[in-house]
Formats: sequence, C-alpha cells, structure tokens
Amino acid sequence: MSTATTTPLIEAKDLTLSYGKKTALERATFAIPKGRVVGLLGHNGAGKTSLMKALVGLLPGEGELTVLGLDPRRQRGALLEQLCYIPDVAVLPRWAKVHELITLMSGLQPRFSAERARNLLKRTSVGENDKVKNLSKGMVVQVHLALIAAIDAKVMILDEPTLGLDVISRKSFYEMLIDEWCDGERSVLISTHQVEEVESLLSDVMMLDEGRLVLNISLEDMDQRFVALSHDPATAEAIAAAHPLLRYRQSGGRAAAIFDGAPPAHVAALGERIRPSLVDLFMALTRNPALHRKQA
Amino acid sequence: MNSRFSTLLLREWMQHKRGWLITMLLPPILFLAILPFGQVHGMPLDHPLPIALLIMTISTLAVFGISYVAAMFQLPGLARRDQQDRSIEFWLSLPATHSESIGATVLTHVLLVPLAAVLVGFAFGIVIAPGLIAKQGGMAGLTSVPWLSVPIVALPVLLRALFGVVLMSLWLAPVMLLMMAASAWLKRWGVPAVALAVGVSGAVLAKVYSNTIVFDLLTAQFDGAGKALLVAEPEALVAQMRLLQSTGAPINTVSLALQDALTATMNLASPHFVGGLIVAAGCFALLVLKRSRG
Repeated sequence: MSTATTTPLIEAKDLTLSYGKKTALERATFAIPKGRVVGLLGHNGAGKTSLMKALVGLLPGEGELTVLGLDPRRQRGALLEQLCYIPDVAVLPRWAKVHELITLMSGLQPRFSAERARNLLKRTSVGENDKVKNLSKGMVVQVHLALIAAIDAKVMILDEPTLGLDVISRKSFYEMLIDEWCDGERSVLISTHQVEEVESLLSDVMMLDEGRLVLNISLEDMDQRFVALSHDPATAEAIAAAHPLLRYRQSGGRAAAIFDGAPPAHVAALGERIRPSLVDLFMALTRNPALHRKQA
Repeated sequence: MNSRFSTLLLREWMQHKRGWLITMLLPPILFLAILPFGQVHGMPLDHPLPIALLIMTISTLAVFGISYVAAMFQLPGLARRDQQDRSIEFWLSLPATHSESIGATVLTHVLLVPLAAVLVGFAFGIVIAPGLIAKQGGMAGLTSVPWLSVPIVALPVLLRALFGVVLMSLWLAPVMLLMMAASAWLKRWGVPAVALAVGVSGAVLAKVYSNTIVFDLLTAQFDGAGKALLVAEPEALVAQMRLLQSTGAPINTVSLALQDALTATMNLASPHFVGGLIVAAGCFALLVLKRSRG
C-alpha cells in the first residue's frame, strides 16, 4: 500500500494458493500496515475466501506469507491469539447460549474480555440467556461481532460477514465494527460483495479477479490515479477512441468513462471529471482482460 | 491440564449434558419411581451382604452399559458434528489446536462419560439396594444387611471398575477412532464402509485362504477390553468364591481388586494392545488432518 510507513501486519510475496490443480490465487504480493481498513473485492470464485483461509492458517500456499510476523500455517495457535476472524454469517454453534459462548471464549482466547463482550451485547437486543438457534441471522451476527470485538487483537479478518443480512443489520454491524473495534492501530480486512456499503469505511482496496490481484491501492491514491469523465452522448465515440477502462451509465443516465490515469487533454475537455465509485472501478478492473496483462 | 483444554472439555459438557443426564439418570430414577408400586420376590436374603453388593453391581453395570452404548453410537458422528452444524468455522477461528479439540472430544466421550456413568450407577446402587431389600424383606431384611461393611467391600471393586474403564477404553481405542476417522472422511458412509471392509476382508481371508487374522485381531481386542473392564483373572475370583463357600470367610475385595488390576495392567504388554494403540494414533492423525482442512 502506498501509505505503508511501518512494519506491515500482513505481508504476502508471490503467494499462490491451489486446490489440487486449480489455482485459487496466483502470485499475489501485498502488504497491509496497521490502522487500515482494507476491502477485499472480487467476484465469486475470485480467490477471496482462499486468501483469507491462508491468512488464518487453514490453507497452505506457496510463496511467502506472514501475518503479525508469524507463519499462519506453522504458528497458527499463536497467530489466532492476536487475530480475530469472522469466516461467515451463522457459524456460531446453534446449541449454545450466549453466556456459554462468553465462557468458552474466555477460556479459549487469552485476549478476550468477557466484560467488554457483555457491554457490547447490552447495546444489542440479544440477552445472555438467549440460545443461538433462537436468534435471527442479524442477531447472530451481532453476537458474533460482539464476541470478536471483545478480543484485543491487532488484525480482524471478515469474510462476507454480512451476507444475507437485511440493510439495518448490515449497517449495525459496520457501525459496531468501526465504533467499537477500529482504533487507528488495528487493521481490518473485509471481503464483501456489497461494495457500495463498505466504500465509506475503507482506507484501502484490494481487487481480485480470477485469482489475480488486479488492484491494491489506498482510496486516496485511487482518486488520483483513476479518472472518470461524465460526458454527453455526442462525445461518446471520441471518448471510446481514447480506450477507457470502462464506459457506463451513471444513475441519472448520463454516460461516463473511467480511465487509468489522466486521459489526453483533448479527451478530458470533452467531459466533466467526476470521482469514480468503487463499484464502477470494480467493474472496470474485473472485466477488462487488457488490464490484467498490464497489471501483471 | 491447560485452561484451553479444560475449556474444550467444558464445551463438551455444555453441548451434551442433556443427553448424558438423561441416559445416566432417567433409568435409575424411573426404577426408583416404580419400585414402591412393584413387587420383589426371590432374592435370597439369607445372604444379605452379597445380595446388597450384587444389586449395587447390577445398578452400576446397567447405568454404565446404557451410557456406554449411547456414547458409542454417538461417537462416529462426533467427527463431523461441527461441520454438520456449520460451527466448524467458528471453532477454527479460535486458538485451540486441532489435536486439543479432537482430543477433548475423544477423552470426554470415550473415557470421562463412562467413568461418570460408573460413579452415577454406583451412587444409585446405594439407594436401590436398600430399597429392593426393604421391599422384599421389610425392615427386618433391611437391618439384616451390615451396611457399614458395604463400602469396605464395595469401594475396592468400584475403584477396580473405574480403572477397568480406563484400560478398556485404551483397548477399544483403535475401533472407536477408526469409526470416527471413517466418519470424518467418508461422512455417513464411513461406519458402513468400515464394517463392510472388515467383514468382507475377514470372510474372504478366512474362507478362501483359511486365514482368520482379521477376526482373530478383533477378538483379541474385544477380549482384552472385556477382561480389562471386568475380571482379568477369573481364576483368582473363582478361588475366592470357593474359599467363601468352604470356610465362610468374607471375600477380601481389596486384595482381589488389586491383584486383578495388576493382571489387567500386565495384559497391556501384548502386541495386540500395542498394535491397537498404533492404529488408534494413526486414526487420530487422520482426524487431525481432516479437521485442519476445515
């Protein structure tokens, strides 16, 4: 990341992950410093979950990977004491009561604070005597986040944490995450398909396309590097001739195009510069074969 | 025991306590509940102490047997328990090792639950024995039993039984862990596949090649388990009984239990037992490998 100023919390170099002959992630190189909220974006099967599993030592890989200075595969136990991970919604054991989960977390996770978990739970509608199987999906996620947010960890990894939740539950989840856990020192890696909802939370973004890391950039740098031009239909041909990454229609119906870097001056003069949204950039980067070659 | 492992044991209790309590407590409680309304005949109350001890033994064995059968039926499924309810991802996100997690499950269901069942059965026996004797013999029958002698005679037998459960679990570990490993890797087909493989290979070897090694190994394993649990040295018990019949001298259960426990321990020095432990270790490694893959 361009803003990296200290030792990265997560560092990968030429990391390749495979399931037999199928490559899930190909020679990915990146670093995540402290205090960042990184969005990991990609289509289904792009390699997001594989990367996250590798980060928590559940998937072996080739190349170099260190998380908090540890080898996730060989030092998994030590790593998980300093890292928290929500792999999916609705993975809390359904037989357990909430207070039992607090007891179990207290015994299994040395950096877990039962008191903090109870305080966080008080802000939800979930009671300590509630059984997980009797809670709604949104409530289960809130319990899970309350448990995980009570861990004094340095890195949080969230793999599609709000999949299948309604908008209110998703909003509550991200509010709790940012308000209660992020403190400028800890880093979060969030994988999600709901790009619009997380855009305002992110400091950085990583985009995966069919196992390749096609973008790894801070949002500040992204605004400087990628240029979107809003233009009239009459100028469409001239804009297309400049080979933008993507041509699309904005919500008002007006045409727009995204360029990697500043377009030529005569093209820039044809439209009005606007900030490309993360969704549009995602579309541009994950369906443009030419760019894959350029990034590689 | 570290705090993580004891927490994993606690997790087993939290998840399975209801089933365990039902299998251990319900049968003896039901028995005690219907006892006042039933009739008891045929107990030779002219030997009150042996009868009281026999009732306690039957109570202990009954509760142990029910719990053990239930635990063994449940055991293969435990290998996939967390995958089936999708909580495996939650457990894998916590810093317990795979060996600790599987070890806690196996230790609890194979050893701790049966041990608890023995103790619960024995405790109920202390209540059931006087209840049954009083039901048949009334207060006279009840007072004919030298109750103060009961713990002196019964305690060594109880300790021998607890030790026997430990040894039996070790003898049966290869069978149990093989079932678990098969279930973990082959899902619902695991146990049938193992049963079929063992049955077919044993039958083919025995009938086609006149080689009974498969059945011999299984028999040795179960024979060792049976002797480890109950009576490792039947001859010593028979001799004590003859002595009792001829002289009327009380059975020295302390020396009998000690001698039998020693024999059961010495029986461990057997290639069957060691081979079984190696198989069990291999199956445990397969369980760890499967769990490490999520």
